[in-house]
Amino acid sequence: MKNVLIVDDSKIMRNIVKNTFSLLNISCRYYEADDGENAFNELEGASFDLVLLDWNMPRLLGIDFLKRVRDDERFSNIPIIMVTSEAARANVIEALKNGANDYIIKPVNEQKFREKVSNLGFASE
Amino acid sequence: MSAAVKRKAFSLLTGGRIDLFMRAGESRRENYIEEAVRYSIFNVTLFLIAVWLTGFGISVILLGEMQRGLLDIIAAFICLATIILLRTRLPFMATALIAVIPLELLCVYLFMYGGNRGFAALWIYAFPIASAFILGMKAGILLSLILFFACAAVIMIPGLAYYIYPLPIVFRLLGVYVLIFILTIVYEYLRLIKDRWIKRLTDDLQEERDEIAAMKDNLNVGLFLISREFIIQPQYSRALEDVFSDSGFSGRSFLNLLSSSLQAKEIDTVKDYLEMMFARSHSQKLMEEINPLHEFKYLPAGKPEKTLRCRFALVDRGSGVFILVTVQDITVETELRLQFAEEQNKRQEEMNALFEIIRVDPVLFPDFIEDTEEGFQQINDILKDKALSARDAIVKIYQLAHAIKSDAVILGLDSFAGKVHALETMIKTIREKEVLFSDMLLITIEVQNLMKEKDSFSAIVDRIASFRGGLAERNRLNESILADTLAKASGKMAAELGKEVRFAAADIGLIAESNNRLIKDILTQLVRNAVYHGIEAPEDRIAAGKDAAGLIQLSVKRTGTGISILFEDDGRGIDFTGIAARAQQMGLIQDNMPEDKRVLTNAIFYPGFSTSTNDEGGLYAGRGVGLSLVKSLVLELSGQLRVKSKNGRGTIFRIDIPSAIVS
Repeated sequence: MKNVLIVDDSKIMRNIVKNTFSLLNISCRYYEADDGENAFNELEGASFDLVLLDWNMPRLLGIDFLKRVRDDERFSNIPIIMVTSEAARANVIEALKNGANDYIIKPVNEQKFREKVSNLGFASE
Repeated sequence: MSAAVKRKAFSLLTGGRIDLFMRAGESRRENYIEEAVRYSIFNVTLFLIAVWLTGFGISVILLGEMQRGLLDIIAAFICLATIILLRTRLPFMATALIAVIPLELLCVYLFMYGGNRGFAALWIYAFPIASAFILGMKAGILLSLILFFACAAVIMIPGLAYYIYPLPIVFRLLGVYVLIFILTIVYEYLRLIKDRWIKRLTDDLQEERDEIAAMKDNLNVGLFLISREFIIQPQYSRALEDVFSDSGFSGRSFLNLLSSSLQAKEIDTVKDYLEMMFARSHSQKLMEEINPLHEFKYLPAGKPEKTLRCRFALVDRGSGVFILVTVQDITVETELRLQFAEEQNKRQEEMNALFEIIRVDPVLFPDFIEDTEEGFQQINDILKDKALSARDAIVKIYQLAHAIKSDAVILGLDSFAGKVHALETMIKTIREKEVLFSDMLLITIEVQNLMKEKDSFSAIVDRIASFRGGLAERNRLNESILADTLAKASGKMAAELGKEVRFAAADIGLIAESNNRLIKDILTQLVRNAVYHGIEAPEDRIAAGKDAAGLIQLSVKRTGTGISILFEDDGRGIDFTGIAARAQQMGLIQDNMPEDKRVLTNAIFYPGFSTSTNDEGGLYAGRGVGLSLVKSLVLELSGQLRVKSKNGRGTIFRIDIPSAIVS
């Protein structure tokens, strides 16, 4: 059982991400957070195997969340995949430089998730 | 030690070969290296032997053995003379033999003589080493074997040796000699093999280097290395100068090179990207995916802009880690791609137009094409007419464009109508300000484009006609076609406005046969006006005690002088209050003018007059064209136009046209 944290300010988007991700048939427990601040609190509550992070959020932007997580040695090794819109493609490099492991351009789909997750050695069961 | 002294000492050691080496060309240097090594060994050997012999000679003379001492000193002189000889241009082998052969003779002599308790025999050990290293394998082996056999002969042949070596000593002496001889030969042999290998490797490398250099200079991609500080390294391909329209890149910062083309934020992104590349933090595939310079506009100062593509790869070199950058000029490629997309778009549009056309009844098309052609022709004439004031021309063009649009809308050619609508909007904005020559030019260009569009229509229509069995075959009477067209127009427009309309035509054979397109245009405009302004919304009609569907009736009568067209609707009639307000606003009537219905009725025929103040009429009406167009068309037909409003119960238009015009 893997713990996956989905961070996005839109509930609909969180549901889409969750539903798409569950198509991978990896047994996961999903946690959700609607901004960076709450996401950080979630991180402190459980041990996570993956964070799916939206880039533009109110309160603690994606970039600030990343920096804070990577500066904290408790969380420095958690794989983080940045989920972003095509419009924000320019931010990908900034995100990867600041510690994101990979990125996905919306709209998300099963294939994209499968590829990225296998890159992280997160095998399907 | 200073460099000059070092150089001098080195020159002395190598018999001047190092100087030749420095002066020689690349290809001949190798020979001099080999020679310099042999000369050095030779010189050192000769020098040491000379020193030793001189020492021994002096000590022997002091012991009173003058003859032997002199011999030693002569031998030492030969050695020193050879060192000097070696500096000359004499071939190495000649000099070497001059020195080595006396050395061999000396060894034989020393072995025969024995010296102090036979220790002079030890000299022979130096010979295989010196001869093999100095003269090389073949001569070395030969001379060393000669010495071996000479020594053996000295021992075997009685009376030759001054000193009698005991047998065990003979074995040991010659055994050690053989050992040294073999080791020397093995070493020299291996050294030669090693040199050959190195030479082969060097040759391969050289070949590869030549190939790379050739590629680098002939490839039409820019190729260069940048350091961790983003500094461009000295080795870069010639094509780079073309690609970047610049030269002298060595030592410059790659980021500075881009600074005129990218914004500060983009430069930062490139910097981040390159740093990530150096840090090897992400896979090559991912890095390729997020390459920020995959396609970018390069703007060199004072040169035409280009579209470039950079690719990056990390390379390890002896001197550190670098990023190999390849730059390609993809301007043409990009332009072609854009052109292709545009072309595709156009095709798509044509397809849409085609589908719109297919929906239209083919018998209606020739009229439309003909009318549109004539309309454009008139617009062209107006544009060419120098006598006409710009403002009048604009008003006329506006009316004509409006008529063309109306026809297109009626047939459901929405995309074409949309384009004419755009022209209309353009004219409208021009009309509101001072009309400039450039504006007229703009209109001309736009009209040309629309005409092209219309031509493509005709082409499509012809194609459709060819598989529908021919358009010319008009199997319906013109009368019913006209009635159908108008009924369709009113129905379509009413549906869009959320209204219901019935259209009834009686005895219109007179105008249908006349085939006069101006009359058709008048009727089209009147239908539009009636549906838009006259007929009320169904709920309003029911509230007013009328049938939910409005009725439009058209009838034609022959009169004494010509024909009389009656166009009647059962709508709300003319809204005089609204017209008065709008007319005042437009300055057509004075504030203090009495509300004379005749004045107000005239106002509705004024070009640009409309009670709707915005574009809500959209494609249909409300732009103040319709009735002014009707009026000018009637005048063109030398006709008369009369309007009668039955307040709340409808409007009647009566148009009288002289028979001369109709027939």
